[in-house]
Amino acid sequence: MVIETFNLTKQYDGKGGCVDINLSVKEGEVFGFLGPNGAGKSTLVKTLVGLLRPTGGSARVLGRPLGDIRAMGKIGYLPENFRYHDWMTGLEVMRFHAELYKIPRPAKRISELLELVGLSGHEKKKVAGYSKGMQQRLGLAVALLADPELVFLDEPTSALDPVGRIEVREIIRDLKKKGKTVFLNSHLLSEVEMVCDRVAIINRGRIIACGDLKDLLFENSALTAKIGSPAEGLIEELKKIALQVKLREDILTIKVAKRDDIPLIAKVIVQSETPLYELKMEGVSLEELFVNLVRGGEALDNGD
Amino acid sequence: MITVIKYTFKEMFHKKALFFVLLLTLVYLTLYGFGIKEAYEALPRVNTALLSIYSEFITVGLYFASLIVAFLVVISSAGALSADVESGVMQAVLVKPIKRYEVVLGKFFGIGLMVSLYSLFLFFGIIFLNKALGARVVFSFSQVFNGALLFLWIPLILLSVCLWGSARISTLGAGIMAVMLYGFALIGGWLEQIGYLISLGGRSATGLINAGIIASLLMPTDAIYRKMNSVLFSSNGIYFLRNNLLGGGAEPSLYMLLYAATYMVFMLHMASRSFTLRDI
Repeated sequence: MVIETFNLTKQYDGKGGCVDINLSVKEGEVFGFLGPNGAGKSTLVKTLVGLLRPTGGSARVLGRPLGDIRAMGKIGYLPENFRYHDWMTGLEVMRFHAELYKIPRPAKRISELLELVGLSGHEKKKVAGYSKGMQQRLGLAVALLADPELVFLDEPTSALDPVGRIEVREIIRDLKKKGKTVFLNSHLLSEVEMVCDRVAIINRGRIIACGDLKDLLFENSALTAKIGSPAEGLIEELKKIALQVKLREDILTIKVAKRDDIPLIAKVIVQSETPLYELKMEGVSLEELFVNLVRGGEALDNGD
Repeated sequence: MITVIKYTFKEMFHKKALFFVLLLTLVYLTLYGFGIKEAYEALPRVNTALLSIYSEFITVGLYFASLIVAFLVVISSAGALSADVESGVMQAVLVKPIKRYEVVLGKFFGIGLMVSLYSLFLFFGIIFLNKALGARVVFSFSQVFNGALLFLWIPLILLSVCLWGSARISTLGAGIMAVMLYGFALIGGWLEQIGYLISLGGRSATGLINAGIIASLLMPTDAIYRKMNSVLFSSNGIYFLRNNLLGGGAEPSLYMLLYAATYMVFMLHMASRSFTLRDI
């Protein structure tokens, strides 16, 4: 595991922050961390990168305790609210951070990254004159300087235009292809849905859902079937396979545990000689799931 | 740590306050030079008792020079850590393979190097102006060398206190704390000198002298300044600086020097510790 937390807690004077966080992030995955404003997302990230001292529990990042110098050399971090020394040029910022990472002969790497984030041609301008979007692009380049094994991106596209967001998504996908682990902290759900393998949702400092993104969405989806008059014993037969079966007029709403159960459901309906006019999966989007969970305060944890 | 030293030193050149201080320095040296030129021209040239008067002019010059250096130290170091934390700069720096104490020491050496160069410039500027404009004082190499070292030690002590404040509290708070402590040291030094002058007249002034010693314990900068005076103006065991508020009087002991060195190291240790424990 690249990240493992055990009841990790960081609170401020006993309030706020994040509480009893148990997470495991595997090598090479893009892990999305979601939550409403003030839910404790940035607190957790800052605790994992060693900026905040936990008030309880423990965690290991890249197999080392929090804040361990050996691990820090393999971590890239784009903070949410950050600034660079505004008296430096973009190039000087890159050189400064390359020196902190102790990267030998960083010129080529710096030039590649400036190109990647679209700052080529702006590198000799003072950071004070950069727009917020340009600063975010520079922050991303700094986060990738050391070719890190683990990258924490805290709201990486909050200041970017739509094109910039697409570019960042491409960078994240590229990192995944290279086997890097990305911990993406965001409240832009569509962005998370597009790039993440697994997600955790935090609300009021506690994890309320965690797991494979597809599984989470599936668990909160239902199969609907438009049927004619149901044959005798159909509902009982369906209940043997499904988690939940409801019949309202000519619509059957069926909740199944796994995708493989869908053909079985179809088979049972057809074999019972009940007329089947339509069968479709009524899925929820991540946004719907998120809103339901956060508004409902429902605890859903698939065991991760 | 070398990286932090290098970039801290470079950053100093980009601070507007540095140019303000340099401008003040030029104004100060011009006024001071004009003043001593007029004074030396008006003084008779043969009286050997003038030696102590020349010494007083030099010590007054160095006293106010040390105030300007202290000003530079406070404005450049009170926010050295806290301002970077408040602005978000530190978030990106500390998530690197660097220990927090290295950041603190890097800031100390980076700012300290600049302040030391500036202190040496002022120190030799004052000495040069006096010699060039007619002060008949002869310094040996060791007097000037040791005096210069003691002169640049004063701002380094203040710098260590500023960094401790900056590691713990806000920029404003750290600045106010450092100025207050430096003020205590100055006033404590005056009280001790007054006590010494009173005791020369045969009356007891233990309270005043003790108040000065306590102030020196809180911030030993004034004690180091007086040590510098005794190094510069002592020759063959004779201290030829007259007793006044700014100089003369009792020479701080070796123990006070050891205390000042320990104080500076302790402050740096506390700064490193506070910064290591600080949530960013």
